[in-house]
Amino acid sequence: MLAEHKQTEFSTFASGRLVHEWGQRFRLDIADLQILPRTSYAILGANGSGKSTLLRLLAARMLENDQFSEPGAIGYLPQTPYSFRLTVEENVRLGIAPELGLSTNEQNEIIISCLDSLGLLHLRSEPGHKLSGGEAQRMALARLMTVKRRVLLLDEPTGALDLQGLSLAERAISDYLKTSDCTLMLVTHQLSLAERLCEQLIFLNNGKLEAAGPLMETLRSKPTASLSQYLHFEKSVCLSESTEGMA
Amino acid sequence: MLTYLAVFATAQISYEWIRILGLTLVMTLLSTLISALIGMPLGTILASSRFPGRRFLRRLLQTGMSLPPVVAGLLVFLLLSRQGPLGSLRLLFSLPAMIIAQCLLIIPIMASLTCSIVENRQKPIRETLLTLGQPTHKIYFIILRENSQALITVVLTGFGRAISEVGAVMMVGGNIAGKTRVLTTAIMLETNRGNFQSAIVLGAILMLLALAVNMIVNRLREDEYVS
Repeated sequence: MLAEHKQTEFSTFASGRLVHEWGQRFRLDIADLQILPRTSYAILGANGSGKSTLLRLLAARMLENDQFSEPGAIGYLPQTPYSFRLTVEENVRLGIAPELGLSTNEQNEIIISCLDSLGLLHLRSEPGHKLSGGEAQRMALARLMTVKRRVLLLDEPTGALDLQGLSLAERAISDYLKTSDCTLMLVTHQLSLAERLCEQLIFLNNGKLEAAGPLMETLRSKPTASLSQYLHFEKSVCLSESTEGMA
Repeated sequence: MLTYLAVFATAQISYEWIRILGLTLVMTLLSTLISALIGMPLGTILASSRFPGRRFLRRLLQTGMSLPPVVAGLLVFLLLSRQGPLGSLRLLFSLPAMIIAQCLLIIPIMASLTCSIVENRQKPIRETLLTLGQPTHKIYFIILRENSQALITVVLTGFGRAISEVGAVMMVGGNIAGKTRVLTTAIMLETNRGNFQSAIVLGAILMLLALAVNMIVNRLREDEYVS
């Protein structure tokens, strides 16, 4: 059971030009991104290519956009999610915007279901700020999954997770996408995860959009030298196969 | 020396001293509380919002941190004197006048320190709550609550300023026995009279009071940390 917004669909979102400068060292400059409803995007690129910056800029642009003006329409998970000095249960409750007008019982039902799906139910009364890195990451994911959002912006949501946590998180994200029909923008270094969860690829290199298109086709065709080099280093095929084999 | 002071203090304890101690506590706690209720939300808003004049207001508060107590006292004196804009309230030489003067000194300190603390730590909290659709007033409240450990130090700084202040409270309070005489102004009076022993005992009581408050607050902080 998930709390629902009145209108869950949005028409194609045009981000407009996205520019961010970080001193002399780094400049992100992307002309325009067209984000489609009910589509999953994997944002890939080497360290420092601007993936997290792009996600933050997108979150900011979306917050200003009328299509996402309803409270909680956007779910943004930063690379290091913030854990409030509250119990795990109360941390997750913050994911439910008061404007949705849910009763405490309804909220509790949702919270328990989200915590259970991410294997955190036994920690519900523990202080959220004292969880381990992986537990905190799963708690932040649970917080986002309390409500049907129009778009989920996840910055390496599985970066701190062990294999069991990874499996739980992946299933939870996948189930959430099926039930909520929301758009996913996923920054990750785990190509196998991107392959399983995403349809579209956005590949960044040095702050520039180098390749975009259907994920599997683009990965196979390797349209640019930098993508080819990235895939070589990530050993995508080996990783993908071995992870699938283990699963 | 300590035994001597204790014996002397016991001999000196009178209704007037108890009254002085009571007035000091009421004045210090009320001015700290009022300043915290105004200064801390102001500092939080300054750190986490963007509005015209924000930078100027911040500079003004930073300057206010070094406002000389006698200047604060003079301003409040002019404001509350019979010919002043608030003269009709007849507050001059009263406890409320002393509290107003202290607030004028403490609010800039609390607001500026809160602003510095919150500015460094509010970004992830604000981003998280904003995207989750939490209302603005709740975001400010949670930012304050999340920084409560550091903000206790801000309250203690304000308390320290309030309990040790003498210039402003002397100007607007008048050091009237039983009405506006507090520990600091009593120490000054006893020193001027040449009653150094009384002044030393009053000073020791002032220090003990500050020590007791600091110990209680730190105990609360430790309890919260442990839980």
